[in-house]
Amino acid sequence: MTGKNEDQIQLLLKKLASDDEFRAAFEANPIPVLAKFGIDVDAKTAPATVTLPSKEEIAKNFETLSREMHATMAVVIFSK
Amino acid sequence: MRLRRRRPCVIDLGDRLAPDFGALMRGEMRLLRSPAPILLCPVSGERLPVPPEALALMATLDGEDWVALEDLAARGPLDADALRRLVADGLLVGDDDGAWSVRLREGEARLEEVGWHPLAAVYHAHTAWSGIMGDEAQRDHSDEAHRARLDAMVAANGYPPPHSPERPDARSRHPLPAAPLDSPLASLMRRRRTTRHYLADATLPAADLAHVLRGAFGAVGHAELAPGLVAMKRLSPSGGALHPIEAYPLLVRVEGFAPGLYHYVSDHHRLDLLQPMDEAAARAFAGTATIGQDYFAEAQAMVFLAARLQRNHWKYRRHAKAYKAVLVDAGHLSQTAYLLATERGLGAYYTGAINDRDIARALGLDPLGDAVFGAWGLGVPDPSRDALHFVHADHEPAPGA
Repeated sequence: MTGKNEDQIQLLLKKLASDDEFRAAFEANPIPVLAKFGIDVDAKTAPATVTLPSKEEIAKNFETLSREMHATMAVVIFSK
Repeated sequence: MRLRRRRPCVIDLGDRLAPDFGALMRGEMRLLRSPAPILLCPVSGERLPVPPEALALMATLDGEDWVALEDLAARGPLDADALRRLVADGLLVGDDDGAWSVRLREGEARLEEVGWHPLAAVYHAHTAWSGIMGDEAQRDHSDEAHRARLDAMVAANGYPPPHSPERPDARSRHPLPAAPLDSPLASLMRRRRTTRHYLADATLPAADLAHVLRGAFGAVGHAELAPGLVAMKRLSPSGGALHPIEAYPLLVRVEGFAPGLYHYVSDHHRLDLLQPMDEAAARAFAGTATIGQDYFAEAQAMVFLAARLQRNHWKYRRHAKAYKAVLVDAGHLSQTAYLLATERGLGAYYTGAINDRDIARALGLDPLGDAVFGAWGLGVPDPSRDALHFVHADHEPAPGA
């Protein structure tokens, strides 16, 4: 697997964690979907029936991945 | 085709965390960690993965002299197709007409023309934001929610270092005379604060805007140091007396001015309209420019501080301190503007949490030569709200402490 852009991997996970329509498209035909995000995966690694982890499980790993990347978190204000 | 190494060519040897896509397709979610050389592109700001087998070859190439692709392929270990892929991925520069090659050749030439220190160029490109949005607009700003966020930070990061550290290795301690800090200037400075609540429907008097712009960004003197070399005096200091930072006001609701993006001309104390907008569009831009800090979009005016680095680098070419000096300039200008706003009873703020790449594009600036460092703002404060303000108790040093 070679991913040209880490941002694309984050974007992919974000969609898999939140977008039911996108998840269905991924499960139907994952290799071209991955390719659209610049991720080249050998088609032989795809099982006959693709089943994604739950949205919650993907979201948790997305958070882990985000923390490892450059922080772009929102501002935390010092107030009262 | 001929090839050469990237210039500058800064490679980060780190660990890459990525999903196991094979497992993902079988319903398992796990992240794999692997060593990853990444070229940090100062032209595009992208992180470009370097195939390990290309690393050693890249280290043998010159950044100035071109080498024929066929000659390089003959030397091995990479064949011509693999070398073309390195060019297509932006890891080597080609002399061909491909989009990447042209962009990299022109971009690298521009970085050299501007006089960037190579590490500053990489740092700047990789810390610029575009399209980043926080959750400020949706966030609960109650005291309880705010406290919960701080508690979560303490749980994750521990307590921060103390606010007023003392050196245990001090040889002796000498209390200073504690005269009241109540001179006119000190009193004004004590009233200064960051304001996050504005009366959005109020109109900012043009005289107030003019006063702050003139005092913070206007020229109050000149010195022609040599023919063609004019130094400008402002009310704030500047590294090398160069004042490379320009003010670009985004006017939302100011008396006598159409909303939109302007450039403030320091010498002539004049606003030049660059991009007219309606008020709603100006507020929307203020919000997205400051990554969704929607309370700043309530203010009547925002001023983007954009440095012309070529002016600073004319004196400090490829200089280790140049970038830091310009950041300090932005801080000086911000404080001066804060005090002038406070003097007028207006609210003000400064934020560095901005989508600088998007702002530069909207202003028509050169992303390789101009740097937008912050957004300073001005408006009519709402005295009825305090939820987002830093409310403090006054402090006086204890005698003899």
